[in-house]
Amino acid sequence: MKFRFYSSLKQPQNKGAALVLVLAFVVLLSGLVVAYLSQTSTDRRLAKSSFEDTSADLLARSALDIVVGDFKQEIVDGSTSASPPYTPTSNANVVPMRSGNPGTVPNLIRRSVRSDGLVAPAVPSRASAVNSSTDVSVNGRSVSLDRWNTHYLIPKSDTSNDDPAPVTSFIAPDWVIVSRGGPSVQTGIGTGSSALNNAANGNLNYVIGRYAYAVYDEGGLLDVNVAGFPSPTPAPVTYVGRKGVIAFADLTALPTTGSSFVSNTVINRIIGWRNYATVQPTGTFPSFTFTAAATSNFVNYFLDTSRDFRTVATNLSSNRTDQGFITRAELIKLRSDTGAGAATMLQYLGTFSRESNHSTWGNSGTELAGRFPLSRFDLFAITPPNNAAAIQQYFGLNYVPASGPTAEHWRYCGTSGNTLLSAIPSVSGNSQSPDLFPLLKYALPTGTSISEILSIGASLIDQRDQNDDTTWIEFGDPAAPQKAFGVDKNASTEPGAPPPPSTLLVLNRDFRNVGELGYAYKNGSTSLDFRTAGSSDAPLLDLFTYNTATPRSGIVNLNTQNIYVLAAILMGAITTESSSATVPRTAATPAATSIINATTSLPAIGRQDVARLASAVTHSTFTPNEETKETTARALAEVGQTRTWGLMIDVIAQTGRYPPNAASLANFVVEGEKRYWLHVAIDRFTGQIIDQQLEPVYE
Amino acid sequence: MLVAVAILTLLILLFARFLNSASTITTLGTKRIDADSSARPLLDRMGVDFSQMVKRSDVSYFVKTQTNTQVGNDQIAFYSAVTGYYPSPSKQSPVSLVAYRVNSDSTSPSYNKVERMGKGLIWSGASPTYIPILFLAPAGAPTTTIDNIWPAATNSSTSDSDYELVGPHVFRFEYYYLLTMGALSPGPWTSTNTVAIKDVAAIVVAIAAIDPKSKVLVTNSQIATIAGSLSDYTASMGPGQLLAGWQSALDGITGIPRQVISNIRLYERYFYLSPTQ
Repeated sequence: MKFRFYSSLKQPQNKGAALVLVLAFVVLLSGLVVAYLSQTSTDRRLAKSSFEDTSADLLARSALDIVVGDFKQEIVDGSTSASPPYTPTSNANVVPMRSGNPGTVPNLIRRSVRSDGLVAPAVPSRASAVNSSTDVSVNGRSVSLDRWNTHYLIPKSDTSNDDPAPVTSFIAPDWVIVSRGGPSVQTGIGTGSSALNNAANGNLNYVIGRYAYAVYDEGGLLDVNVAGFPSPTPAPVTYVGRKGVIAFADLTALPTTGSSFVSNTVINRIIGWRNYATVQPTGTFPSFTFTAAATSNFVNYFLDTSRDFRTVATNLSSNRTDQGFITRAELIKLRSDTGAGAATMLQYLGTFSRESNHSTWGNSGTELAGRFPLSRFDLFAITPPNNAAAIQQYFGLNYVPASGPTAEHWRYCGTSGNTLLSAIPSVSGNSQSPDLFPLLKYALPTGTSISEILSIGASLIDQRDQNDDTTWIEFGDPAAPQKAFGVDKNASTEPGAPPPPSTLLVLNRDFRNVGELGYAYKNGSTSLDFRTAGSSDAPLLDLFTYNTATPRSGIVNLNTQNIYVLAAILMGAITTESSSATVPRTAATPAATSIINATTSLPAIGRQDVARLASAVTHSTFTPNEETKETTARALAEVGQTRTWGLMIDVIAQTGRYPPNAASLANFVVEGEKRYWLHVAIDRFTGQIIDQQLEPVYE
Repeated sequence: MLVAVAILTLLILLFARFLNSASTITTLGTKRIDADSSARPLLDRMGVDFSQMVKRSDVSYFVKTQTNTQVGNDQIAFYSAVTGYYPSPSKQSPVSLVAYRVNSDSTSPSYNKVERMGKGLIWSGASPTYIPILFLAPAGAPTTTIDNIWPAATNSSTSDSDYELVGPHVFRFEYYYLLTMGALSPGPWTSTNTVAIKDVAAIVVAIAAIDPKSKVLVTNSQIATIAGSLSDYTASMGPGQLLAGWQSALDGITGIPRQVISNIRLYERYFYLSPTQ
């Protein structure tokens, strides 16, 4: 029986049925499990990828916060007080300290660098001895030198093509290693519970990522949203030659390939796109041409004294508007798409600039509410004045028409009433908006007489009014008033009036820039001095303004190290008003070099330093006489500033870890990466961020 | 023989039950993964678009404001420095018009699904036909708004060839703002032309997704009913309250199979626009 049962199981039709069934179930189950595991595995990888992206983004933003925070700390530590206003302790501290710069990259302020040589007040970068370019990660990741220059802010090694490869002297930033405890300099992986690769809870040294960065002086570049004018050059030459706004920077001063410079065709492509509705060029993108009417539209737009240029015009033409460069990437693409010049020109151009239109001289940052608008002198364009009330408000003068032998003149009575004053009020308190004469008293050396101050004011009026008669102002004792005389072509017939100087230039037009105040006289023979280092008249350069908007775009940091930026500003400036002679490129570049040498040895702390910078220019175009010497002040002061740090921070952040077998700091495993260009404007004197723009970089 | 058969039967039953349990577990897991797989790329895509949003005071936005409260599913349209579908292979600018909506056209195959418009814009001045990015003009009452120029970008049912399906299983889309001063807001501006995007620290997006297996159990009309029961964000809500409210609303829904409701998944993500000051 036992044999039979065993035998029956051995029947072919029954043999293995159970096994087959069980195997079938196992196969089914295995298939189900494998499919599920496959799906979950894929999902897990996708979720991890998404997580790493987000982590890298957060790390990059944190890195930017740290870098910006370091700059803010540098401002505080480099100032005379720990609270605003942050007055620099020395001229050297008005600019951010430079580090890791080989000297051949004028735009580079600093990079994350090992053994950072930055000293107080600057904060070192915390970078470790791992280079982002040469020290390749365990999984083969590195940041090439080309990638570090995709913004083209570093001079290219080969100017004949679009390859972003930087000059060989540029060294890529080192990594700042970030552990659970934050960023700090690391010297090795370490061992045991405090090792960088030990993920045990409580190990603050466990590394979660790293970042590297480079900071560029975007505030020292020409903001291409404002800079540049079309060709044919707006006529007459005085439109451009009198400067006053950065739009009249001559971009043909910018070198491109070999001995070539940016062409007018290239500039027209940019302007035609940028100011399409305002200027209304003919032709289609990118081949625009400009008529005289178009260039006139251009001039009228940019000479608007209240425009801040942070937004584009609200003009509409053929259902199209003007354009603005939204990002640096857009500028790079426009140049590439239109063939607008060589890529090397991009190292002179920025897309983001902001500045508080406020003085820095002395305590004026807090004591004054703002700069004195030059346009107020337009109230004197004709006499009798159209707006006597405004003249009294802004100048403290009352008009007296001609009567008998006495010519028309002004009485100094202050901002109210009609009683002659024998003294000029002093500026006291904060955020004051003084009228002209207290402002002049505030700016000029203590002890300057009321007569001299009123004479300067009268001379400024003579420069602006449209007649040739010398302006004079009564002041002092009403019973025996004194007289202060300006300087104009026709001497005053009043007793005691000085004769006009033998060589006299009177503008008889509106002021275009603050440097033109230098045409005015402070007595019968001496003009205001904006050409000598240490000039007591220089503070006026900082206290007056043509453009009144604040904050505003398109103002260049006077301490820029970029020669050709200053050369573009100087090129085309009128050196001699009577002949409309202008500064050629061959003079602008050496003049710019002289200025940069001067600011390198002693940074400019305010616009008043422009007089010192003018004295540093020794090229023959600038030196024949006082007027030519002050060309630098006329071209530079109005479009220059020192109080804002305009930075572009290029940061690359990588999340990841050190594996258990990591032997050196280079053995990092990269899991996620994010890159940003942060454009930020920090007010050096208040520590506030005026504005910022975060530009994600996708490569 | 009988013993063998009995053991075999027991084994079969055991395996069948085991298989059934495994199947149930994997099905539930798969549904969750399907919903996640639908939501994640949508949210990631939004992340890319928002991070490159053109944030200026002189360009137009179509976003939720006090005068554009957007009852039900929300819409958003803005310029972003991302590539899109260009009308021409040349003269392509780096800026696109991006819009998100839940299609409300019941005749469309995308009905009750999230669509994204990625309209690539060409350089200004390159064509009289194709419209580039336009800045706000003229002053006072600008006509160059997204709403005016590209009405399909601001309408939930108008068709446009540049719309593509990006959230086939997402049927509810709501957003609100985290302002730079720290408050949550449904939109503090008085009109779409006064949007001060720099006041926004983050855009908070909430979505509801349903997996495809559950979706076949309900009609589009029922999906619309479910979407309608998920309330709009209001100014009184704090962090997390919108999704909590949505979950309560789902729990209270009757007349729709429970297994469908239980497989609706809710997501919320903060998209930070600006670095801290």
